Amino acid sequence: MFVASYAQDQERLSEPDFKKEARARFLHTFAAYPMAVPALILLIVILLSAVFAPALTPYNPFDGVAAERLQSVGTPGHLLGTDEQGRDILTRCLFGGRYSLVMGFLPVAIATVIGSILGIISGYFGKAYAQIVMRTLDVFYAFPSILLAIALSSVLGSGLSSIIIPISVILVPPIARVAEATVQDIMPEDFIEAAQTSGAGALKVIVFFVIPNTFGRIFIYCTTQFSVSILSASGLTFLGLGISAPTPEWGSMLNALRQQIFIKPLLTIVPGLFIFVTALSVNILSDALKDALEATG
Amino acid sequence: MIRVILKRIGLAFLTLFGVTVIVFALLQMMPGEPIDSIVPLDASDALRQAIIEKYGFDKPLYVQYFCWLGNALRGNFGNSVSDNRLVLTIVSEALHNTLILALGASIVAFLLSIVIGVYSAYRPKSILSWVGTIFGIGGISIPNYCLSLILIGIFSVTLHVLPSNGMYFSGDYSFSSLLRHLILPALAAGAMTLGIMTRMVRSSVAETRNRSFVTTLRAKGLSEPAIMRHVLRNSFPTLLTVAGLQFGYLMGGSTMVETIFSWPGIGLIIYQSIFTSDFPTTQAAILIVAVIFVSINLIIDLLRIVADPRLRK
Amino acid sequence: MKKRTRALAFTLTLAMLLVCAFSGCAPQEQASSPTPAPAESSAPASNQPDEGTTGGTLTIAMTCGALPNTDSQPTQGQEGYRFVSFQLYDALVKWDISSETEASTIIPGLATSWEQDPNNPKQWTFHLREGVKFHDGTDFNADCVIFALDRVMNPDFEYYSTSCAASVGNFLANIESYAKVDDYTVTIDTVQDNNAYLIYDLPYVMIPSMQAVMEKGDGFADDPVGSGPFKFVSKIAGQEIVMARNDNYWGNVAKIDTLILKPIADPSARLAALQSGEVDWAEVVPVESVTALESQGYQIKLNDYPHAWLYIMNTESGPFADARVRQAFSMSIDREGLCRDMLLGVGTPLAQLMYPGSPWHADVDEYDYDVEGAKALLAEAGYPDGFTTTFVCPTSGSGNMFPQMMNEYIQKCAAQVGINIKLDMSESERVWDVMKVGFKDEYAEVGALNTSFYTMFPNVFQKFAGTGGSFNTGNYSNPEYDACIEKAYAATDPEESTGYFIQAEEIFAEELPWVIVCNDRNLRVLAPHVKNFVQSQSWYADLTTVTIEK
Repeated sequence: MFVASYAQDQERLSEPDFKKEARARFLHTFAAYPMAVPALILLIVILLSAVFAPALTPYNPFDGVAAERLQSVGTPGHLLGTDEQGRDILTRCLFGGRYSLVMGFLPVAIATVIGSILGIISGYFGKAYAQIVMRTLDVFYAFPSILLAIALSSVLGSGLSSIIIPISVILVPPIARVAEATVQDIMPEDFIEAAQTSGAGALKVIVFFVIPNTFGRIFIYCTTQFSVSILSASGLTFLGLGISAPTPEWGSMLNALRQQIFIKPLLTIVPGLFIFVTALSVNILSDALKDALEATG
Repeated sequence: MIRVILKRIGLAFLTLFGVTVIVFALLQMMPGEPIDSIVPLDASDALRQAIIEKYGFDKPLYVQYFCWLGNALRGNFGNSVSDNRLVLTIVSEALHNTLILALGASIVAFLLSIVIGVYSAYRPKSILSWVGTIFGIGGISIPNYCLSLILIGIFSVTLHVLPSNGMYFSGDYSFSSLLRHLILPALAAGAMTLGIMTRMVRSSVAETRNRSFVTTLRAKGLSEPAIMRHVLRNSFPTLLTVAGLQFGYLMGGSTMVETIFSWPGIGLIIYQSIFTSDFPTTQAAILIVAVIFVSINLIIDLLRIVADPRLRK
Repeated sequence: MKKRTRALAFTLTLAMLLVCAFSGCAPQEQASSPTPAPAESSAPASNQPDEGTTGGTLTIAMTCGALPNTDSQPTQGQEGYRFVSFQLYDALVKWDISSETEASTIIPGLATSWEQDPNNPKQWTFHLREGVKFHDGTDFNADCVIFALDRVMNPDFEYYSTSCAASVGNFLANIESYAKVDDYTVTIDTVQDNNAYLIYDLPYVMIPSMQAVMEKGDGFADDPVGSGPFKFVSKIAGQEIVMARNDNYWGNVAKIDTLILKPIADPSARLAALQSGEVDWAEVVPVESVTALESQGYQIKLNDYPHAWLYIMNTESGPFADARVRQAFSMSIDREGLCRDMLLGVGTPLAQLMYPGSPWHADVDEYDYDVEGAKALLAEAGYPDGFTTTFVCPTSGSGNMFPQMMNEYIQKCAAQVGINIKLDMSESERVWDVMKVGFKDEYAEVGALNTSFYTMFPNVFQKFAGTGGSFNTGNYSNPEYDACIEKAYAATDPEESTGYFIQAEEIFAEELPWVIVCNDRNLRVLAPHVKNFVQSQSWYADLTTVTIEK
């Protein structure tokens, strides 16, 4: 009997085949999505280059020689030219990545947590609680997001938080809605009812049954918000909010260089291209993840 | 069905009320006192008092709120602090201009996206389909302010074929003058809509094509174009919803494109008025944009309720 | 709902939207429709003398973001006066803007002469010009002057305008009372004794047509009537103001037929408009474009004039309350480098309030670029390791040149000596806000304000740094300085008065309650066919001499 139970334990402990198969299918679909792997590599490169920026360039992002200002892309010594203060643009873009990426990803993380909690609880408990929460969020949703972000940002003054907080605020309503809808989809399922009748408290049911079954879809939706966040955050700094000179950051660099559009057009758009490439890889990745998740059912 | 419609309308009003409170609160929290932006430094006390009385700054906040709301409902939004014109005039002109921009962007985006999206769904391996993918993913990834600069760089600076700011040539208020000024901003503003719609159309059409009723229709001997009409009709509600929401977003969210192209729209007015502490204008403009947004959402919801019997519970 | 009805509903909605948008396509015009493009005079290239050429349209791209109000007092500050008020209206006196080489002085406008009463130094008598008619044909006389003053000074007056009063408020502080003596004589009483500087305030009190204001009331701004060299034709909000030549002007009749003003806040947009031919005249284009423009045949206009780009220091609290710290800051700024490399000659270095061409310029050693000296001074003042501070700066604004770029450069200069400046950039209105609140409450941590000021009149000495001065944000108070100013005001001999002001300037250059960085040179670019414009040593522009060559 001892041997038999040990064998049973072993069977329980080793991974069931279908999980392994699902994971393989996930990865295969992901990799098969056009440009998914290159996008992933590109994103990793961007992230690493922002982190290891000092090691990648001999220049200081704050040092500029005024006499060398506005040199074109491809000038020897300055691969991407110099800005209006004479600072090397490639260097500033690499360092700027730190701010832009943080401002892009952090709000999504914050909004995911807050939005999911609000949405899941609304979806689970429903009725009056859901009404109050969702109606309040609707009020925020009633503003075109960028306007609300601008207004909130100007109220909050300057500093990174005056970008991160408004973007988080505008991302919460859509995430909460998706979370609520997702939860409502699985509420009629048998296993939920079973869990509830088994006497488990609401918290346990949510944590062990609702979240594992909905989080995939919620998470995938949140990844689509990364590019919205990056574009909006850089948009706010482009308008002059949040970041103050001489901090390098893609959006505010674009704003400073904007005056030179008629004199050095190619130079002007360089920071914008960094934003574009980052948003592009993030979008491709989130598409691929969505496909992969659907493939595993 | 009437109950559902009434409930939805009631909800919209509730939302609007919340919107007014938030707009008023936001403005109170903004840096800068509106009174300080009007009263000159050398002002005598008499002048200062006259200004306070005229704008009602001496009353407590909740009184100011209700006065403002009451006036707003009657269409009286006061005078702009910057140039003393009626705020209502400023805002309606700006809305008009943004409407032109939003329509221009939407029409281009919708038409292009339907053509490309449908074609891609039918011929997934063709060049046009590949173009569609590029538009799709590119459109939602490129920041519209960056695209504006790129377009200006190509068409205004290098090729000198299109103007880079304003709505009209001096003295020339013809439609063709407007159109030439509209092209670049509409493209820049519409890129994201184009991206979203192309992807949406393609996935919606592709999904609908695979449904069993299509096979049935084909088995019945219906021609391909006729089948395509059926497929499109089925996708239409979803597409309409997304299109409507995108239009609403364009109405309020084109601030950056408007700034770069100096297009005198509502986004630009809001942005400028926030920084010049022209609170009457900011309040009115944000409120009106939110009202429009809520109304568009409401109309779309109502259309959906009427159109889709499943929602009439 | 049937499919047909659904489609119908959709099409109807779309059609309504399209109709709404395009029905009012041509923008709403406030007044009469613009005059049709005048027949351009076809002057053959060289033999026709420029003086005789009349006709043509001059389109100007201004730096302001919104159109100045066309009411009897403008909005948008001095830009509003320069291009709108001084064209549509006249005042009792005006600035002489006819010479490129002489500093600008006050000359008669609607008043032909004036004198101070020897027995009552507070009273000034103005003799008005006869035979002047407003654009609507009504006569100008003393009643109009009283009316104009009541409109901005008397809240109980039926035609009092709060907005006009607010616009011109800064220039009314010296006026105590006024009265009509006869149809062509008025007296004005000043607040201060011996205030010889009333005439520096009066160019800004514009005189509208009394009849027109009474007839139109609140609608006057939409169809203004003045007596100036140009009359109002139309205005399209946010787009342009159109004016036409006043053929019955009492002074120099303009040569051009039509004047169009466009507000374009973005320098590169102004450049684009100039290069595409949409405007003939662009204020302040990006400095980097100047060389290219010159080679394409555009006329680059620059001149020294009294307009300083400066920092108002917090002399009340914080590190800058100590004069040595202010001096150290001034010494850390490489003005030569700034003007040469960043501004490409569009500004000239200046470390005292008055520019070299000004009668009140002091011939002293200034606190100019000296990094080591700055560090030594800082150490002496108790900041051997420097300190951190915040500067509030505008992002644009008329006369503010290129604040983003310049402030970043100066930030770097100051960092060299240990002063770490955090730049708080926002719209120029916010700077006015700080000036009103002062360096306290939410602005207690602010070390300085960046802005620019005209320094055309000597009352700035008192306003900027005199005890209780209205622009004295930092509450600087120096009895010696105040004494110089009082003596200057009390002196009856202009030479003596100037001498005392120069003494005040010497103290200013030493104490630096405001740190001056450079002097704007009023960069503007004119298209090749715009001729005969004289860029005087003044902020203002005489558009009556301009001719358009075809």
